[in-house]
Amino acid sequence: MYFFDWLIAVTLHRNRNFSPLQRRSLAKFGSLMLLAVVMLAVAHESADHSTVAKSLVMVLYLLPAFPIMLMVRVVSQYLTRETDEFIRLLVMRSLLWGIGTTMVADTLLAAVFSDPRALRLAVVFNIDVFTVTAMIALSLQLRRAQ
Amino acid sequence: MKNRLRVLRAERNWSQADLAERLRVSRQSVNAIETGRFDPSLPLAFKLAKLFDERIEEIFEAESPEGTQGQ
Repeated sequence: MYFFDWLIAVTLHRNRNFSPLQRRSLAKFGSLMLLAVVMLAVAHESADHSTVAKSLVMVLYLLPAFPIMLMVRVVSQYLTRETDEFIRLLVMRSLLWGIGTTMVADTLLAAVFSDPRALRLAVVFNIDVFTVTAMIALSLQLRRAQ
Repeated sequence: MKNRLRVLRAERNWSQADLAERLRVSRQSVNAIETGRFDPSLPLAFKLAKLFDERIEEIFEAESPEGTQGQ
């Protein structure tokens, strides 16, 4: 799944339809996403070890909130700086596709798995589904707008 | 919304990329406006009007189902 993310990110980064602002924002967003995923993976691994204090595990689970908040800030800054209103519309639509698909995936995940461990993994899954869907939606819309 | 953007652009021998550069928008935006898939904001419409030295209503025409404009 992460290889798939990486592949899409590299493909989009090389996309000639993207402006320098879009490339910069994408690079920042991708780096923060990677950081959030790594931090969540560390928290998840720590939770599996009985030697790690529960309070520390809780802190480790809270820490990824920072890169996630920064990801929101990157998107917000991008939307503020994007002077092209049509492209802004396409990005907004893509983000909505990302949010919608993530919600559907979450609902399905909650229906299929009742194990709390699986639901903890859902956070990582959410970031992934959101990013992949939004990237694909943006890429398709840009291609359609050619 | 209908518009005469393609005609006005052709009269000046400008490509979509040329117009996009003058407007400081992407070529996709110009294409979307020309094909009627996207209605520009008022500031962009004013920019277009100034660029082509025409009034906004001479470039854009509102589509109404009954053919009654301005009501």
